[in-house]
Amino acid sequence: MKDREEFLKIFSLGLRTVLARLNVDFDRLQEIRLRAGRPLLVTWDGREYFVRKNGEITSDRDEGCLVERKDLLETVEYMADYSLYAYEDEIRQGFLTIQGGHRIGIAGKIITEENRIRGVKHISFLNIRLSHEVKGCADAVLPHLIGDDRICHTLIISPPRCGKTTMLRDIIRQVSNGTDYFAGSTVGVVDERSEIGGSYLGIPQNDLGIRTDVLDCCPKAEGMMMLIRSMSPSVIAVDEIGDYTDIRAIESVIHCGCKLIATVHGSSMEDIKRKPLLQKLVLDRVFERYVVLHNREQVGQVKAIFDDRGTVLYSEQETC
Amino acid sequence: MLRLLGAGAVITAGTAIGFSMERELANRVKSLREIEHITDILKAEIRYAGTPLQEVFRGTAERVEAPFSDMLREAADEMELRNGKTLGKIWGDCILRLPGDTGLTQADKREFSHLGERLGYLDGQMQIRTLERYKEELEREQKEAEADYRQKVRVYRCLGFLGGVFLTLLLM
Repeated sequence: MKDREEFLKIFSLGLRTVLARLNVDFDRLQEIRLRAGRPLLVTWDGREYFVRKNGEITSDRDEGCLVERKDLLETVEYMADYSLYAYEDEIRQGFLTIQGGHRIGIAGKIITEENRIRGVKHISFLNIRLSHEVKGCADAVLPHLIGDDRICHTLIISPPRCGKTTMLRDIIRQVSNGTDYFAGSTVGVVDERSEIGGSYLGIPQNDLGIRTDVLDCCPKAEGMMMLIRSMSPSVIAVDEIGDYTDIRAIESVIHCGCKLIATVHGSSMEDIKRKPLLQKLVLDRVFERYVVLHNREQVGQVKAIFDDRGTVLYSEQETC
Repeated sequence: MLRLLGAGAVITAGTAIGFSMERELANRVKSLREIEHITDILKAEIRYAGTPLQEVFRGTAERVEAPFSDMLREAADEMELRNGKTLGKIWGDCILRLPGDTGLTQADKREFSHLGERLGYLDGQMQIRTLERYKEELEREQKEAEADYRQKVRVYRCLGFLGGVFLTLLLM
């Protein structure tokens, strides 16, 4: 993991010392969980471990280093750059994305006003999900996404923590740069949660290719239209589509002649067909390719690739 | 001859003391204006851009004069270290390190220091209200400081000069 030291700066001094000693490969570290008064937990290589004060991982909960309340408060202050107000909207949704594209889930006492969430007070639980850039993880998938020398409208379907954003990021990079068999295209990315590019001061920290323009922290639906009007992209990429406005914007993108690459939460084609909003897109054959991911053996494993008719183009092989 | 030279030196020293006291008042007015400028920028950045404080401090440092520009840069540098200090403590320490020629009173510094303790919270609206209240307080202080300056500027100059003359006469 690049900038490991910089990443660790989001933790309190006490936790930083423990995590700096962590004797595991950070590239396979998926999650770090902090709960007030509970042991520090990490998910590494798909398994959950406690962390001893000397940085060793263990399965014995009694040996796990305890996270104190002051550690959490200090961590919250650091992760928000001492400026929680700057992340007010994200925190209201329960998470914020920090430099590097790492996502921090938040829980605590919810403040409501007229049945709407206004904010979170007494933040007592944090889940830090590490973003990893795995260059080349889309190598085996990409040839299936190209038809008539153009990228197909593609939907990546995956349950959480199966590497859909990582896959999307690598597809963007390769489509933008071009490959031996495909000339590079202009890609517009609407990075609503800064997870794809991990932008800092507007500049993506992850490699998204040489022909990529990024709208950072921009709502997906508005962002897609903005990109079409302003940056004339050949391909538009978005992460985690789902609500009505996203679907409306997708219809507009498709009618503008742009190709679309998107991701969605789900575990199979059937799962997607059961979601009313997405069902229409499937029945209308809006997407020409569906890539289904899972993490049975490892994160980012491709379960299957389908075309718009549901024909299997690829099935169950390791790609990452 | 020596007496004359001594008398001249005493009168000059007295006048200089008068001018220095006057300058202190003028510096206070100038410093309060700079702080007000900082408050305005902070408010705008929080309200319209939601910019994190570290970034705001660095940007503001380019737009205000020394020693406040240095103070803001120091605060931003220290925030970057994440060394276990709260924002209030970092801000307060930077104010303590301000040089003495700002003309700010202890009360001015205390209020400015308290501002740091109230920044960085989740509720953006609350921050803006805090900054607005502080700005109102600053405007009041500024008016008083300006009135004080207008009232005392001649008094200090005259007193300095006359004090020098009086001391010369006493010594002679």
